[in-house]
Amino acid sequence: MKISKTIANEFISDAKKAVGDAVVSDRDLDWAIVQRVQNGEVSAFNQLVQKYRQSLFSIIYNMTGNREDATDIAQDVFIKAFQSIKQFRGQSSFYTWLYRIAVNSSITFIKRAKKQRFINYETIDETLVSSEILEYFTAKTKTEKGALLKELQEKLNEALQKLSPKHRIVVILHEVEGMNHKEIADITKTSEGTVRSRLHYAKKMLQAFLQEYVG
Amino acid sequence: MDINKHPNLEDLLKVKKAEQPDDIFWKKFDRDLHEKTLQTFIKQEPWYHNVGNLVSQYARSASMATGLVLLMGVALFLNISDRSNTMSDMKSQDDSQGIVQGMVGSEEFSDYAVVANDTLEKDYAVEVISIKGTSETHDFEADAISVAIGNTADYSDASVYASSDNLRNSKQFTQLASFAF
Repeated sequence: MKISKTIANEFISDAKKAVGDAVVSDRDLDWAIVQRVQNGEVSAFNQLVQKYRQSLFSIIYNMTGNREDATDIAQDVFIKAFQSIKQFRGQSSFYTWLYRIAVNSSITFIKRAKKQRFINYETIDETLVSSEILEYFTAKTKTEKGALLKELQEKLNEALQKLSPKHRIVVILHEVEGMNHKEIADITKTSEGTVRSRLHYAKKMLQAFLQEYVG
Repeated sequence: MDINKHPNLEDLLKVKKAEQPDDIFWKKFDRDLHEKTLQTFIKQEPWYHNVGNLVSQYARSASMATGLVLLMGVALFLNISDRSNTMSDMKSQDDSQGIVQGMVGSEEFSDYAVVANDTLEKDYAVEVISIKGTSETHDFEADAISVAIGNTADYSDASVYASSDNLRNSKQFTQLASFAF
């Protein structure tokens, strides 16, 4: 029994190390690509674009609520990152740095275009929506899946747009992108406590806006 | 999630993850990004950017020149103050202060200082060595003049000739020369 416990502990520590190494290697991988770009291998930057374009676009789209604006801002963010990549010293993860540019660009855009904004939503991929949610609402409202999804999408986006940018970004990064408090604090340059408090307040507000859908 | 249970906010927000563009969108995105990147680097810098560069260049060279002039000024100042210090040191260190004090600032004082210098005394001795030549008489006379201005004790000092026997032999000529004056 003692032997098996020791083996189990070793296995756990090895597994932990492996997980740690995986996290480190992902950051190191990005840093290696960044260094290649810094040394003049411009085409290597495309690897970073391919890796982060989807989540970057998602963050900006959820911040702005407009597909075209999000496209333009996301492209500008990559250009900005490329232009200032020599200033990146690898002290933080590349994605933290990239997302920070994205968040700042989005907030600047929102502040500038405050009065002349219009909504243009992204198409929703039905296969990615939890079947339980769809079944629950179709059973409850007796509406067709497509129409229900459209309605949910509109209500969710409206509710998100009602939040202030600093509360909105915390919800997007935590609930949609699945980041932890530490990562969000790094991106938004705030403390973890501030992130928690903003998240709590934002969720409370969303709960109120979406009370007919949320239990 | 249980289908009979009311979904919570977190479940609902997961719907947002399903809002994803298709492959056609990403192809266009990559193409546009490539074009934008090229445009950014091809685009010429605005004129005010060039003016800024020019101004900063001039400012840099002007500051370098000012620095150089300042450095030269400081060096010159230090040199002048060094000279005045030497003069005052000489004034204070001289053994025969009583004689010299009256001559400070005058040409006689500086002549005296020249003669008091050891190397010049040796030069004087060298001139004495060459007395056997035809043109040496004139040289000897010139040296004798400086010595005469300074101090007669210096003129007849035996230590001046200590280094050479020839010089010792020629002592009589030296003395003769001094008598001539």
